Amino acid sequence: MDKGHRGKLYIGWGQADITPDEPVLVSGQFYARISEGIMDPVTATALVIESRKSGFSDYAVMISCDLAIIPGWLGKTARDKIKKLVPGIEHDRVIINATHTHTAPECRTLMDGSMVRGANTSACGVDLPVMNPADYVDFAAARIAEAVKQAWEKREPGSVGFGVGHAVVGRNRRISYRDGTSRMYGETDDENFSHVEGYEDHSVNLLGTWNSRGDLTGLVVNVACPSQVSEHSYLISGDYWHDTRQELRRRFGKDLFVLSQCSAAGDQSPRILAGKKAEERMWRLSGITERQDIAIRIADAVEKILPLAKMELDAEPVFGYLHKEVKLTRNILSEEALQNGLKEAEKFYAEYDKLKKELEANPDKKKEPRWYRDITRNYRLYRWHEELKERFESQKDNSGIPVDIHLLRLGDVVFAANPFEYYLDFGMRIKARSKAVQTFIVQLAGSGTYVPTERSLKGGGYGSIPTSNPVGDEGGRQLVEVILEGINQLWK
Amino acid sequence: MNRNNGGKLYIGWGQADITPGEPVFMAGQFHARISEGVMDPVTATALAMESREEGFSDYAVMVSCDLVSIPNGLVNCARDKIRKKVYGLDPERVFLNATHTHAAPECRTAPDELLFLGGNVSALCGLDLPVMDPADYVDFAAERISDAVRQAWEKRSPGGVSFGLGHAVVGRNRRIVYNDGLSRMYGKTDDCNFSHVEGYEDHSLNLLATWNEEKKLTGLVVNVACPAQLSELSYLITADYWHETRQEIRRRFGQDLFILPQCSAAGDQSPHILVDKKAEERMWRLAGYGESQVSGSIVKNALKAGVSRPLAERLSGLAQRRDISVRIADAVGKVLPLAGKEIESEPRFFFLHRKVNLCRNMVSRKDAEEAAKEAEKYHEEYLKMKNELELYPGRKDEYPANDYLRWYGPVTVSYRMYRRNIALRERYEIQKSKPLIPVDIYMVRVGDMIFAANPFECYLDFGMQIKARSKAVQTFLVQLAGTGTYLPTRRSVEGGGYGSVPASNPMGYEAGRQLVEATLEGIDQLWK
Repeated sequence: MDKGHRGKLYIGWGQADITPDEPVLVSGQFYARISEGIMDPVTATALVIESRKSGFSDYAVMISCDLAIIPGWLGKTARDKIKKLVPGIEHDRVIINATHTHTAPECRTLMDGSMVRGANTSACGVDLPVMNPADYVDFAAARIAEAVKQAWEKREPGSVGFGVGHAVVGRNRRISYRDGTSRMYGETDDENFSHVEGYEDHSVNLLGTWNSRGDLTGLVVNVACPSQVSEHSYLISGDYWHDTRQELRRRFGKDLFVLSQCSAAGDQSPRILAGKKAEERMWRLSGITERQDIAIRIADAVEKILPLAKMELDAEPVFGYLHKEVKLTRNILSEEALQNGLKEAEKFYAEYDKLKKELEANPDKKKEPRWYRDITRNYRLYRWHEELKERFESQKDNSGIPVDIHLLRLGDVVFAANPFEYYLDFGMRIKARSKAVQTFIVQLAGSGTYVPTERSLKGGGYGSIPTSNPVGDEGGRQLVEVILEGINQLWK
Repeated sequence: MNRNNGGKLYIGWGQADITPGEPVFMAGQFHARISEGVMDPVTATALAMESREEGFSDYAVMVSCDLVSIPNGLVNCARDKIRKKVYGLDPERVFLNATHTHAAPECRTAPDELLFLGGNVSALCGLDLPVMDPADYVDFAAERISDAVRQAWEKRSPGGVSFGLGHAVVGRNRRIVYNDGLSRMYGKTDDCNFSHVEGYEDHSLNLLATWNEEKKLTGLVVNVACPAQLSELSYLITADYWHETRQEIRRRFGQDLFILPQCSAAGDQSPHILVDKKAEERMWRLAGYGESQVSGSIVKNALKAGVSRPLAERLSGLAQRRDISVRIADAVGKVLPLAGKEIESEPRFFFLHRKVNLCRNMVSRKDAEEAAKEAEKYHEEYLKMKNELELYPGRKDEYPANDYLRWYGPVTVSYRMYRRNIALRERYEIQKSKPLIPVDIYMVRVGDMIFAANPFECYLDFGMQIKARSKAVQTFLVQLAGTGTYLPTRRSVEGGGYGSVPASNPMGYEAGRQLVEATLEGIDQLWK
């Protein structure tokens, strides 16, 4: 259905622990990491919203996972299992997004295509004593389906309220220098530091759900920042969302469900690149960690919004859902970029091969802690570049890259989900032109990778170079228009 | 510069009301505005800090004024008065900054200043209007400022300082870039050609608190990267959001608290929300900010002055002012208990004043010629309108009171646009003999933090460069500690638009870089 309708709202929440109980590959860096324990659990949270009117019902399921991305195979497996457990739920009514924690299990498997949305660099080039990612995907998908079942079965009449607040969490991580080049996480105490390349969006979009007794049951919290403070850790962690959920539950109820979303933030991270010593001093003075600081900032914003949001609860908001498969123009790889990439691939392969031979000659090296770090890094960088070949071949087919987008309208609010690490400027364009009073952009509702803006491409650097971008600025613009068309359709 | 390793700190505060008692020109727009009343008072707040050690003393006095800028004439006049009435205080160690409220009295008096720093709006407006002479207002304000300084200086007593960092989303980058690469100040964002917000924002809030010997909080320096210009179209004198912010902070932390507002580098910032405004407006409505103001005396005053209700609210920006005051007070409330853990009564203290020569933004011959043509066009337009007004005085009544322009508005716009182009043309001549412009910068190191003041509306990127490279744990940049005008970045000049065009920029991004380096050199010197 395209156009919205008003019906009585039924809301249900569910949650599942998706923490593996054996060592896994930890996803998020070029070098492999084998998990060495659990810092805190990774979870999946499901929200079912159904709108009923005289025998007619419409619904949507939103699921947030403490994972780096939602690869295609995970998405499909989870949806299959959901449909099996709850026969009424169709694949295209399920939005699954990742918080982009860099300390969760690797979910990319051999079943995932490598080219559609970026290189698949999950393979390591050496045998590692870890749970097979495909087995983890099967495990996580089953748990996710359980969470959805729980949410579906528990749904009851309720209402929603929404509001906007502010928390300084996401920081633009692309630093521009006087020579016009940009660098992800570049140094700012450099005399050639010119400016932070792009914008930041410190808005916190909040949707609360209340049951018919007037109790707050759950929150959807949307900030433009991936969850990657602990991104180099070897311990499994939900990153700052773990601390944030704890803080929110401490303030608003221990049984509260919290569904985290990341708005368009491909060029953002929580890492502070300018003025860090002042922030560090404040953490010391308050005796908290950076993650706890973020948790408090988000909880402060939520606390400010909630009483206002509650003033306009809506038990029968206009409900509309739209799933679209769109084809975005490929970022055409030039012959030169391909050749440069293949040269790099060759270089990394040679290094990998050298390390592999050394390892075979000295098997005792494997007794050293994290012995696999360098060799896997070289192997994956080799794969990352090598896969350009396949991309170069696929671009001969002019049909574009198929992408799923999901839109959910709830009254004056819209959720707009896409699979990318979508640079923030695109998100601002959508928000500025959206018909909704508040637009919750949900990035990484899929397998991700960077969609760069024109200005970032001028600066280059990781994230805005051909190898990083199967979809480029043009595809990014198309996505803006497609999402806005969808929103317009829901507001007709 | 004298060396000092942390003598005992003496702190004094003073405050003065600088609200004029009669109609004045209001500064901040191309069209002239004659004040039609007072929404809330404009003030000057002075903080004197002295570090004494074995007969040696180092000190500085910072004064924040609810004004749009601090022209040299005002500084000189205030310093003359300070010299006469404050014993033992070197007036050169007093520096003033403006909060950049656009609804305060015009302080520019000397036309030469226009050429010197290239301010683009003349204090004169081409008409004989019944207002207090800006020179008289400057004398009045300088008198009051010097009183505040005397009060601060004479009341100084042993105390301590502490500092901290918080966050408040207040300043917004106001330069909008379109798909064709061009930028526009306050450009529309619901345009299908909207590409991005040109520059960065800095939502940090730098706070310095002062405490007396009994560890009682006596005052706050609050530094945010945002000029105070929500009520920028108002015909009522107002300190803008700093008025509500002072009220809110005093309500929470003490009625007698002194509050000294500073604006960090924010030439490309303003509090106006350009993306997602409807979500914010809804929150103001839900919070009751709009409603409480409508019934409040402030809007009533505007209504009495002949302004329609919708316009009174729009002109005042009161709902958002209230919101900003809460955001700032929330941040202060979060920082204070932490800052209070490390009160220093003997911090390392240094004052530094430097005069640096910055290179001019060279006006091209083509720009000068175009400016001359534009000047001619505007002059003709001005003369025509002026003559019509003289011939048909009834025209004065044809302008509805609820318009943002009064009857004298259009003619003053033409006059000032004429002056602006003349100034550009004259700059072309002056640059031949004077390629450099001397600029005063001031620095005060207090322990691990520093105040670094410059006279510009300095684009935020320059501020970030200084903050990122500064040796201080916290760097409080103070812009508009002088006559101002825009200091643009290279990326903004590429986009063009008001604020980043030759007429707006007597100094360009080259000078901006020089300012960054000069400020950092000064900071390094104080950390040696």
